Amino acid sequence: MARQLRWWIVTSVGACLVIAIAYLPPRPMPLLGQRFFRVFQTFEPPTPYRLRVQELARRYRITSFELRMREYGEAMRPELERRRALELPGPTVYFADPGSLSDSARSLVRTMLGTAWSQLGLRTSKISVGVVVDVVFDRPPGGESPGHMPAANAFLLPDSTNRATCLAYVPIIYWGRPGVLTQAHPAPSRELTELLRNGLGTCGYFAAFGAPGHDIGRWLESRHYEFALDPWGLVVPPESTRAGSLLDEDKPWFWSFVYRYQPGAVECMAGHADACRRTALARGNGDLVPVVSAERQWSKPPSLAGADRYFADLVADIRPERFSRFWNSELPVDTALAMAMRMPVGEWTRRWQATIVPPIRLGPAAPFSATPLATLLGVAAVVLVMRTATRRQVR
Amino acid sequence: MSDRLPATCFAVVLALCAPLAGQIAELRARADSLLVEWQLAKQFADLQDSLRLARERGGRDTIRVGALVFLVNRSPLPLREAAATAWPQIERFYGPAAQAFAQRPFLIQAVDPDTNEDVPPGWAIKILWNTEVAPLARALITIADLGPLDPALRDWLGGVVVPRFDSGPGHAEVYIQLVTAPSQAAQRCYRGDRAACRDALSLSDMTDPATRWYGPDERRALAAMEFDSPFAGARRREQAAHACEQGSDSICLELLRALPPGRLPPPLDYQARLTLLETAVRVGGAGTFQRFLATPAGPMGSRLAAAARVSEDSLIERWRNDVLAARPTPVPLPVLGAWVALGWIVVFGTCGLRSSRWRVS
Repeated sequence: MARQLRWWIVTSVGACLVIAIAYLPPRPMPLLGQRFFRVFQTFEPPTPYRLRVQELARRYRITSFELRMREYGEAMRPELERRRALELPGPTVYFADPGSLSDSARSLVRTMLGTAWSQLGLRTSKISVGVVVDVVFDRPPGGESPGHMPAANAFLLPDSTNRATCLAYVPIIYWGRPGVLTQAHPAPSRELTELLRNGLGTCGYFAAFGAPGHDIGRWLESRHYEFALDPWGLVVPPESTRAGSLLDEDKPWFWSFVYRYQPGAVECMAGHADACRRTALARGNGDLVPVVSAERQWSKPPSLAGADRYFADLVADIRPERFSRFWNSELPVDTALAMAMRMPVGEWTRRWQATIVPPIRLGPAAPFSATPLATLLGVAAVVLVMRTATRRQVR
Repeated sequence: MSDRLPATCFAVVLALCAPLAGQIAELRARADSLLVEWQLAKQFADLQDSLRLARERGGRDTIRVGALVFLVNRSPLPLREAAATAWPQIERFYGPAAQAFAQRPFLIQAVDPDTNEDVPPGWAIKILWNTEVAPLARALITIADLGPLDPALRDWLGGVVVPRFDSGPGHAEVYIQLVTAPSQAAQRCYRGDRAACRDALSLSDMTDPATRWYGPDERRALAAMEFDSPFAGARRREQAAHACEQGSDSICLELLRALPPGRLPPPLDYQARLTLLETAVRVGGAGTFQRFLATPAGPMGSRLAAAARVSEDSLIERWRNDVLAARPTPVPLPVLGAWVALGWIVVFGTCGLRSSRWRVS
């Protein structure tokens, strides 16, 4: 054996020894992989007892919200009845804390809500709508305190005790910063217009189309009316919904957010009509309470991407008259929906979903342009190595 | 029972006559009952947590150095030595206020460095037991935070109070911020404008920080950066992308004002504020922190100045001088170094080109 080769072998064995000393016992933990200082507390998952506290807090929030809304409803009742008797169109507006806004700001909010009502094409309706506007200046108490109102639009829908009134809660959140309504001369802004218009949300559907049919009502209730949170008639560019759902395919987090959705929703994004149908028609397992909130949980995405505007887009597509027939239908949900759509539910949903999220491709999918390039590079590397080795050989 | 009967009848009649009123009463009762249940569940969960904590604390040694109290599991961790090194500095910084640590024991879990087991759960501060005295003392200084005694200080600072004096590197970092921060206030502060320093450090009431910290161009850049995010909302993103970036300062201002409190990035960050606190303590002596805690609520600048027993202007001037004195020295590139680097390139290149051929057989 040549002397040079022996040196190479000795060096390799020496390197292996160094690595072994670093990685093998007596220290089973690799020297390089040891943990750093942990001077700060580590995150502890909540105990079952703490989870129960959180669940009770959630139930308390729903109940106290319903209670507060019914109290507001009582306060609004004379005005609601007067409007109903005189057949005055428009919602009844109530300010949760009237002292928090100037007269001109309150008047502006009333006018803007009246305008939003007209823009939705609503006139007098069997179901009156009361809107509770709450300007929130302070952050809700931190910690585990259960008593705070929702930080997004929420609705108390008509139920067996009060079939003729739908109440919307619209928080205008300032949290200590200056806002349009706190200015000396408040002027309408686009943002406020949209906020108030969205505030009519689910109540807008009740005002326009009345109470839903029995089966449809149960289906919507079990899903917390998630398809009917946005009112119709508001032209929202698909990019906005896409970005709002964190499903902008140009962004690096696109795939991680795709896979936060349930498998059915992901399949629907991939253009599988069956999955779209299944997901759209599935019954939810929500509490059967007349309270609906648009407040989203970070960890819980909706059943379909952009679900909030499913009905809004459906109304825009099939016109309010046909939607009204679906809404009031006593047929099973799938039949009523398919009749309104005039096509299978899965197919309509697939097309609608494609307007929000461009169809994704599931499974391994190397781009066509990248494949030949990678192959060429691989071949070039192999050829280069072969040629170099051949040239270096001395026979 | 007989006393309750009329009341019950009345309630039933009321419920029949006015279903809504009855429903409100029922809802209130349900809410009250849920609240009671929640309170009980919370008490129980708190009890469970404290039992867990007690279990963690059980069987531990207590080490006292000055007012510092450590509950620590048995291990070769040189905690006493490290605490003896750290305590004088902690006491010098906090002064008499440091006695508060006697009521706030540190729970420490010395962790075996030679194990693949995961770190045991719990609230204790985990430290490898083979940590040496000097880094351990530094860690103890870092965790010796009395910020929670004054929530306003903690909010203003945006982090923990670190009782340190060796802040040369900290001042150097602040110097870089002063020079490079895209903020009019920071740049004017660098040039000697004390009012701008006050703004940049949020020492007075900041009702509209967007105008006090940033100029129109900076606001435009900031709005574009802050609202280029899916969390910003579609309408605001659109506004930022069009009206604001095309020069409408009022839209930029509206966007920045719409950010939640605390979201607008301050021109000078935590490090700068910590160095100011340190300057105040150095100027005012050992009783500064105690006096600071005793000052009534108000703007942070006047509180710090009162605690340091100097005027706000002179405190700021002193801080600014410290920062300017810590100007980082530029890294020089010696001519010889360049030649040496070039020489190495030539050596490696030559080796690569002149290597011997392989002998196959």
